[in-house]
Amino acid sequence: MTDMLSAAFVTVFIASVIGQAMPLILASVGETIGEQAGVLNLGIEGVMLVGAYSGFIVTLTTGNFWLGMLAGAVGGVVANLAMLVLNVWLGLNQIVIGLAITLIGEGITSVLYLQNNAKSNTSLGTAPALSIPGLSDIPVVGPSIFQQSGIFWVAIVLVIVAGFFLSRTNWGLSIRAAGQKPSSLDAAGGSVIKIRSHAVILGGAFVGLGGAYLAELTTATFTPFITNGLGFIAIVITMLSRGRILIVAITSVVYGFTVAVGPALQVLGYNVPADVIKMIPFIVVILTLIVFARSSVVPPALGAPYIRGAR
Amino acid sequence: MFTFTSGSRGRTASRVAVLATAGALALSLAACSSGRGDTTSGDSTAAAEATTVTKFALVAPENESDFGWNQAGLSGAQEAADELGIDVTLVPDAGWDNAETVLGQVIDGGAQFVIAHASGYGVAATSVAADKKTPILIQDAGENIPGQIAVTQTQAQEGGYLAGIAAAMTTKSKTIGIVVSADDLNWFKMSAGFAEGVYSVDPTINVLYTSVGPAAYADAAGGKTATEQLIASGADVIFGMGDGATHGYLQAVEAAPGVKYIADIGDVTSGLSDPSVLLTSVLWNYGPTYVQAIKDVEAGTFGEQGYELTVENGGLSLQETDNLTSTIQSAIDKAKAGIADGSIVPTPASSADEVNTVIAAKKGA
Repeated sequence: MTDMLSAAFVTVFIASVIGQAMPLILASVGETIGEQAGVLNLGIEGVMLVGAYSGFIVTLTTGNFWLGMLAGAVGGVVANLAMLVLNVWLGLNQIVIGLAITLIGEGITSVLYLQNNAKSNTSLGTAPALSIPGLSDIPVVGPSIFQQSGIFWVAIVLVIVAGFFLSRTNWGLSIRAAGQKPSSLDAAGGSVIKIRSHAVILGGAFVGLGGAYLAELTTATFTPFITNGLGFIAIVITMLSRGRILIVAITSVVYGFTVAVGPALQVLGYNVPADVIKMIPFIVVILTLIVFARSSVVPPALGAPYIRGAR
Repeated sequence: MFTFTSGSRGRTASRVAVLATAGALALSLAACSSGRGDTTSGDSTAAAEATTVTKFALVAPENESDFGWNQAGLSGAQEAADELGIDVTLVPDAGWDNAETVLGQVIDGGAQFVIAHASGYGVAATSVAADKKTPILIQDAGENIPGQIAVTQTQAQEGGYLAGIAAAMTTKSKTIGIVVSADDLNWFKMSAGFAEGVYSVDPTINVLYTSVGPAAYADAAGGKTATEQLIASGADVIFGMGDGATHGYLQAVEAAPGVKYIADIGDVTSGLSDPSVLLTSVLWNYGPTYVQAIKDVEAGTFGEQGYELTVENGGLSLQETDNLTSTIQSAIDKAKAGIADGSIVPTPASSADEVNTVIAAKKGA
């Protein structure tokens, strides 16, 4: 077993953890922005799928991974427009709309893929790597972390910026006020509808980026239902993280580790049943819920459409 | 907290307008959409009594884009229809939840014989065959019922054995990986046979086995991760079994220079950027089986016995590629003869534990 635990194997393992964690981090940040503003988006699975397909098809067509990521963000925003119009503007039920977005996202991306791509080569290839001088030569962590695509680093920066804006700026304060006590925001002269609209659009872009990252970098292709429930995991992580982006990132990496460790154990010679392999990430999520459920605090106005003057 | 809220008349009017528009769109789409397959009406009773089959159907859970199970079934049915000069209704993407209804619909649509191309369709197919008095061919498990049900089984371990020989004669690193995306009987059989084929050439070769999940048929991301780890462990030949997860296997293989890939059931060439990475594929050819089943329906003997895909009857074969050199091909031909005369009997493993036992024991060496 120890013979197989080579530098090459550990390198691939770390890269696998990153590949599994990054889509989740981006999607969870998107969900966090929305939830902090009081918008519970259960449609994140569908939004991710739309982002994934948008990114996939643009990259497949143009060969440009950056354009694909941009398309993924736009796709996420477009998919989230339903939440914007039906919930934020018209005040309809967030849970119903969210589930509808999930179903529509799953359906429309499957249909588009089956109609346009199912019988052809859908390989996107490998995104160009950005070697960080000096660091990329370090054994194991060099090739696994510091030879990632430039998209990886831009995604990291975007997550940090989102965390900063959410916690350290007036805009972030308005976002949180819209979720904590929207009537106070309204009384202070802010527009709850406007702030929530910003949150839904920005959140959609992040979730779409998560989907695009999954298709373009993690998998390098698209298949129907490629997210495999990742959107719902993102909702759980968001609720546990209570708006703190650092916790979102750490929890996502733990999830990525649990996904990558299953096949690794088998390859290393441990006879682990396939059922257990598939259960590991979800067991970790459930344990996390059990341990941290009491400290999980969601914004009081989460899920409630804002109607001025309503009690 | 999560309730519909009341608002002003304007807000209510807006909601009504949006809902009305959405409803009109949905009705338009429903009106424009077509049904599954050919839905022309027909007399099912008459079809069951007919002695000449002029139309049959195949119902598959997914479509040919899986490069595997569904592709093989659909192409086999088309091949049988072409050979016999009769009509076929192909119903891909039927899913898993509504099999009884779909099977009934194709019979109502005039199919005199139906292929239920999923092991999970067995119970529904048995019920529909009895109800509609129409013969249905099912997969893997079940009982033959004269006039109604016949079971197709695959001696997948035989095809795996041949692929194992090709892999063993190709590897340079002396490490070969097997990746499956589900706990599937045929993949257990094929994996065990594959390992034995490898060991028959060189028992010192290291065979690694990994599973993406118990039912991760479509998990391309998980498939890519598992395959990358096999390759990082030194495997330079990968035998992948996976339906949609195959897309992930292929991405990992194509990103690793020098690694060869063995596919299963179908032809993955169209899914590869560089077809030269394909060493071969264990092809499952259902065409002759379907032709025979239709002839049995016409002769009134359908269901008296089941059908098998074997190396000997041509139901299982290796796809020819430039990577299968004449040396490899002659070794494969020799093994084929051994399987045919019974001197080689690959193990039909029925669980992951049995596969691991075969790998660990280096049985076949």
